[in-house]
Amino acid sequence: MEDLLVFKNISKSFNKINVLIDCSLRVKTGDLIHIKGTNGSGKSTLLKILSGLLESDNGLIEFHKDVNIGALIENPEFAEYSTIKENLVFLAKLKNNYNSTKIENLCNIFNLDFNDNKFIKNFSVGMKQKLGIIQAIMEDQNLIFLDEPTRGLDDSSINAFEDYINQLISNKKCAVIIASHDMIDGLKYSHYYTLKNGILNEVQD
Amino acid sequence: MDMCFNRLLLKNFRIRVMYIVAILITIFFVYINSNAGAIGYLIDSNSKLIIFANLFMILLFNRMRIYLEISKYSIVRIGNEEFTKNILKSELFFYINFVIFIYIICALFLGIENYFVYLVQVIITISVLALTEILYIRAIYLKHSLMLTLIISYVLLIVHNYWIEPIIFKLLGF
Repeated sequence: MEDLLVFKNISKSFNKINVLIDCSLRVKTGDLIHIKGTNGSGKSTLLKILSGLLESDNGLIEFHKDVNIGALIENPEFAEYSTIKENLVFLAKLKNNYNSTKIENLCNIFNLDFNDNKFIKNFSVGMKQKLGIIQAIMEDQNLIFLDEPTRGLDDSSINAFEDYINQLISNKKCAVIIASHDMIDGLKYSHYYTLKNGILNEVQD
Repeated sequence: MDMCFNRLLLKNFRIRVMYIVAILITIFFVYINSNAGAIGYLIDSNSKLIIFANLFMILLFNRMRIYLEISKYSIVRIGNEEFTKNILKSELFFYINFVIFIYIICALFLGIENYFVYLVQVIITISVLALTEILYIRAIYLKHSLMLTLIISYVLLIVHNYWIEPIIFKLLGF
């Protein structure tokens, strides 16, 4: 299996408080990694750094040359006065990856209407969360970061999410890192990590 | 891609309303000052400054708010630098159109006495708007103080109105 991401000794502090201390990890194609940590443990910070939304204080991050990142980090944010279609088409067109059939299928899986005329500002937290998940996987991204992905989702949506991610991983074409405070039981993780006091540790089965 | 950003922005109801209000206010001021004559003096300096500064700030803040809404997932896709570059292109495109449109309205109401004066004024205004734009984008994405940027922008508009424009016009012999 190819390395999609390798990061070594990533550290980050805010106002002299160390949030991440020398975190290292190797992610290969086909990995489904769970990073468990309490609120404020630095999970989102780590994913933000890996997604390019934040710079680390030090450390090394190496991506595979063909990496295509999808990410859902913290609260999903969309253009509030636009519809599902307008938002997803806009994002997909940024890298000319627009595939309407694929996006419509994903909307169906997560019980959203792709052609719904409602603005995003009228959506519930759960609906926005589902949309956040869809945008992270709709372009066949091969490295996916999901931060608390089941927040606000109902049971049927959680099941749909688990089934989709398990199927995605079984194809061995991508890797997924999920950061959450709880285990999402239906997912077939390949590696478990904990993030506590800024230190990332692998947990053996 | 800049067109892509602009299309999304123009779908925003508030932006559309503000765009129309900005144009209506401009037409109104042009109308009540239509006795002033030449295009460069169609509104007295103070009111022109206030209108342009405020309309510009309101439009800009709202457009920036939308950019912030769409920034997270866009940056993940195309990276921070590319995103900022595209916002700059999009904003310049928008304001160039905005300024040219307003000047066309002015010209329609008042007639153009001197095409060269008209052209110079459009170029100066666009340059000042573009400079202010860059300051704002730097403030938002490089975490500079927004308040400081706001003050700098107003100072820039005052300097533009009271010194830059008159000096350039004087140099050009108008």
